[in-house]
Amino acid sequence: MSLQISETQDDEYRAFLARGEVRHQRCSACCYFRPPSSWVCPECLSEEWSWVAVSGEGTVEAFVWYLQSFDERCTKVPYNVALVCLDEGVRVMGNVNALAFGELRAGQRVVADIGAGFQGRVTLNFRPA
Amino acid sequence: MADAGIEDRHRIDGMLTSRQLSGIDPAKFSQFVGMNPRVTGDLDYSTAGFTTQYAAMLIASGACEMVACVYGRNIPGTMHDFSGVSVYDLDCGLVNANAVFAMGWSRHMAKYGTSEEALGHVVIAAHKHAALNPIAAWPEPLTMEQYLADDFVLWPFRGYDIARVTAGAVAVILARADIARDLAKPPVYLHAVGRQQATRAYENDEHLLCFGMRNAASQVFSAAGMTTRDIDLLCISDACSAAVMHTLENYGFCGEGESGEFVKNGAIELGGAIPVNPHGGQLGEGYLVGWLHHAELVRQLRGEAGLRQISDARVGQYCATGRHRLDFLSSIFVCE
Repeated sequence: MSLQISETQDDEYRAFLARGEVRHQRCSACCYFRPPSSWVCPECLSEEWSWVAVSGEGTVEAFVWYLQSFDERCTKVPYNVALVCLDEGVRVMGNVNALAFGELRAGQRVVADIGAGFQGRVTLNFRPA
Repeated sequence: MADAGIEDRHRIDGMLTSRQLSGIDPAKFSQFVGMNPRVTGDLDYSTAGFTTQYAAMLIASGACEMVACVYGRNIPGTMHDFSGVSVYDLDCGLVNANAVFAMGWSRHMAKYGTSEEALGHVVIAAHKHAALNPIAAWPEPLTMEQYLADDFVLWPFRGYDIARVTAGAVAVILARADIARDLAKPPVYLHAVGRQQATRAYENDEHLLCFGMRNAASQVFSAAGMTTRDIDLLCISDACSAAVMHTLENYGFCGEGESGEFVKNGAIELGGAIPVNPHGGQLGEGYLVGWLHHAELVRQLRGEAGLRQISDARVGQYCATGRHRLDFLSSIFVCE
């Protein structure tokens, strides 16, 4: 199961990331921000949207540290995955880079750190603000 | 069938199997055992609670009179590999279902100041109960010192916090109540159910703390006409220790954020305020995605649980959390 439910919109999202821009969809009808990317607004079912630049800044709400590998494609342990609430009020998952195990805390302020993810494609990750 | 006192297997007119990552095809299995049921089925995601509730729906609709729910697996890595194999987001490396629970527990620790020892009490209780269960895979006693000395694998989880896969098989037969009453043993009734999906996931506040369970809880208790005080034993699908804590809080066995204190003094052990998983659960007995919990509920409510029997157990509750915390399910069982 993937958290991204629409490949077309995910491709567009990543095309912005590749240019260094963090943009998320905002519904043209009700202004609801999404990720996850989708062709339809889950709030009002409108199919009109625009890609709105967000700050890329946010706060870590929760996180896990992988101290052993649980998948052969993700072997660079230790690494963390954090749930980040962006300042625009939407939540995304990503790695918080440049920290050693034990250095991440809930409430940590982070900024976007766009780079190659575990699959090699452009991904929104974070680093401490 | 022998346990239920069913001599003619052709009386079973429904066959449900479970294919959660591994398992068996219901039509093929019926063919193997020479049965020709009216209905065969399985669910895309089908741990035991989903299957037994599906069986009850088939009976309530009149489609079937007697449904066998069957699960078995013998997969590589038994008693070694961690459970929870799944891939959520390969770009950031979010893999394994227990990682999502681990994130949730980090939230719990940050929000309520829960200690590292809290989950240890859950694992220690599971091992203590397993020691009274002759089929348990992990009956060795465990101390808090041993627990705390164990390495983190998915911080804040240590190895002990995560169930490892085991081989095994369980069959549960559900029959229409008037038919069940004529069989060999006193029937255990599936008395009430509660369900809630949390499909909006991280759009919900505190998705990681499983607040969606609260809807399943109010449904099942109101359908049963019961409260937590009526429950004699609680079987929680415990793929990881934290699942027990979220269930205790959101079903109201203790207050929000208080599970760490609640489990400290034996409240979830045999003889405690609410015995949880007296068979050892998935952390102590073995990991068969909730199926062994159903066997335990039946045995306890019939008074057949041997050394770990809870005296006068009449009402048992099953609670499960599925997938990426998208599914919350509960069933209440009674034996008169």
